[in-house]
Amino acid sequence: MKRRQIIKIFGAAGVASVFGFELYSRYQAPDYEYLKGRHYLIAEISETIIPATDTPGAKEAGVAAFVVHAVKEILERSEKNTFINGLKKLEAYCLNVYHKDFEKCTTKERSEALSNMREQFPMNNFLRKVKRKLTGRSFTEILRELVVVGYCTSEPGATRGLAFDYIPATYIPCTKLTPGQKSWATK
Amino acid sequence: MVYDAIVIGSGISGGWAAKELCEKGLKTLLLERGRDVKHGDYPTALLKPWEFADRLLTTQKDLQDQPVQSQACDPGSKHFFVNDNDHPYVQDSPFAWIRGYQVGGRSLVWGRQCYRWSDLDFEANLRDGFGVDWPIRYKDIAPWYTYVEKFIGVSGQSDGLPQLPDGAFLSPMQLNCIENHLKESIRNKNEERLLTIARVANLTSPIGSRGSCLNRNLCSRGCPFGAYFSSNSSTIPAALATGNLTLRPFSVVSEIIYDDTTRRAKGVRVIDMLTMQHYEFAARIIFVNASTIGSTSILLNSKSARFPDGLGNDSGALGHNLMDHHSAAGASGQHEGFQDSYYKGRRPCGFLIPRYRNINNGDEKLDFVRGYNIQGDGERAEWPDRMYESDETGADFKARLTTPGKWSVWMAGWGECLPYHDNKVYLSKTKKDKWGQPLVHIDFSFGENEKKMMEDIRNTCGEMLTEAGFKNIDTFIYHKSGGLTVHEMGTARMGRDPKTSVLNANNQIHNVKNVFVTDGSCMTSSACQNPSLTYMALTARAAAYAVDQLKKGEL
Repeated sequence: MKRRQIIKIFGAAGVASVFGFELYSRYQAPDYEYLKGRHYLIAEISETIIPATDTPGAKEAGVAAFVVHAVKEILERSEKNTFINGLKKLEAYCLNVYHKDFEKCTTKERSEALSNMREQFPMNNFLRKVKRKLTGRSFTEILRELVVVGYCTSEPGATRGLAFDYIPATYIPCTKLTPGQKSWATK
Repeated sequence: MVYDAIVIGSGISGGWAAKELCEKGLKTLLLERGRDVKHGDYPTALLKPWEFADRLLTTQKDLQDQPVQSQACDPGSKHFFVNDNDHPYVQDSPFAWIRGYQVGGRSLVWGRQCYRWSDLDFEANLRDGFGVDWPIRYKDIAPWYTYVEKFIGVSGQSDGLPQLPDGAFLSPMQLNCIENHLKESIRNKNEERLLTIARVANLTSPIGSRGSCLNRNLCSRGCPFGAYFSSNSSTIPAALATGNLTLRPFSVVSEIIYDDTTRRAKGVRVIDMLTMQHYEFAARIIFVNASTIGSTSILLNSKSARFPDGLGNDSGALGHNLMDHHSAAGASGQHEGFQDSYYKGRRPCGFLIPRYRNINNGDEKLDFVRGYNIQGDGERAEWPDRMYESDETGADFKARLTTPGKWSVWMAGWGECLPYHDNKVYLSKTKKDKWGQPLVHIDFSFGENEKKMMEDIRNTCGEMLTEAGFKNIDTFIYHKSGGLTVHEMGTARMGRDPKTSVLNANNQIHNVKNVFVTDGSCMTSSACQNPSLTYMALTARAAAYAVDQLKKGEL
């Protein structure tokens, strides 16, 4: 059966009753005031995903500022709300479960809290597709992508976290990988 | 003043027309509807990723300004693509009309692949009956391919294939480890198939003031080193150096003016894009190089008592037989070997598997006619791929993200599109743009032959990767609208018969001998090779003919 036929059978009302509230919450005006006040939280989250090791982490790379910029300028409206609502849920989860703010949590608790944010997609294959089509990417996907892009395209991330070859001059098609070699920052 | 020649459009073919005509001593006016872009005026060319506020991601504003163009550009190149709201057109069916309205046109952002056609292509229409016969054969254009290649600089490997003739090449770019592995596997399994390095207009040794490619792979931002061919780096400077060129940007050509008494075109009508003032310019010959759909729109809009349906449109063929290559089908896969190998530098091209279907007069019994070539590249997974490999966090994730992952190859078929009468462009009777010019309607869809070819591409790509030991193979046919390969061709085709074609064997309008059309609109069929090299060769050939005819007093 074709997807279009199924949508006809379920009808718009049927789909809306499954995802109604979630849909509404994704098309409201994005809560930029809240976002603006959560710069520190995003910095802590991004550092949890990409910590400082022998190379700079997300904080040093200024990832939080890029993420806030990207939520406003890059994401479409439903994804802006997915992201902002996701941050709120994450904060609430930490308070409920660990009785403290995310930034006060241990590394283990932070990772658990982030894992817990992974979308619970409907088990039914078709409903899962409809959901993705209607609501876009999940909080976890958006967060991960923005943090990674923010890090890997920053100066500290590109030049020290990765290997940045500004003007290669020549193309060497086959080289031997050296121990600890980073991958190229740009394609 | 009367110019010797007017060239409409400064892109890849218009630049060639201007250079050739100026070098042969003609006082030439080059009209460009967009702004001037001088060689070197490439504001993003040397920027590092962190110097872009949006880090090279497409913003919501970009999507509003360039809903169509943003499918083909990024924030590093978007200033070389039009604002779709300022330059609307009507899509009767989905068709991405990708445009660059500036001096140099899309030669600034082209893919630089340069492939000769062969008689397999020039004889195709005659052989299977789709479209009309080309009025030329390979021998007519071969010396002009050489002439153009020597000037633009094409790096490539000579392979001795009849279906893809070798050219005057600079030394080739190099295949990497995984590509060489795939090449060996293909050679062992299929004698008639060959994987070779792409042939591209990127210099591997300097030509004049143009330097060698520095392997930055940022060509679409414009190259300050002139290391790939564009009108801006090459043909326009050559034309200017003669002292014969007048370049006029912001010049929207509304029509070509036909003179009933001389039965020739006498000039063009121009609207200044900024001041809205109207001008007329006169010339002895006119070259139309405004891009496939742009050139045909000008001809359709050039109405006179003699040509009520558009200049040179006695046949009714003008506007019909629009073609674009399809490039939606292919396969990708990962390979677990070669884990200790990597590469350095960013080669500005991939590999090519020249056409291997229907090259022996149809003895393969396939369910489609014509063929395709495969273009692709091999690389190791880097951060843009690796971020999706797991959803862990912390130091382990970072280590994975910042080191090379598995090798992969992505490849897809660039396939021939047959000329169909129903695929067409025409002018709106009611809708106009800011300059009062009628909007263009585009009505295009791929046919059954293209769809069957896509299935074959998907299958053969999957097989070649499987045979070479790749894993996690994904064979695909993307849903891509026409236009997205940016190889639009046809709509003012060449032919032997004025009753069924617009142009003759020298790209002259059959019944208006002093108008030459030498961009993609002249194409009688599409073959499967990237077409720009052929436009350039046809242009140089037509310019030589035009000047010869002028000298003989025939024009």
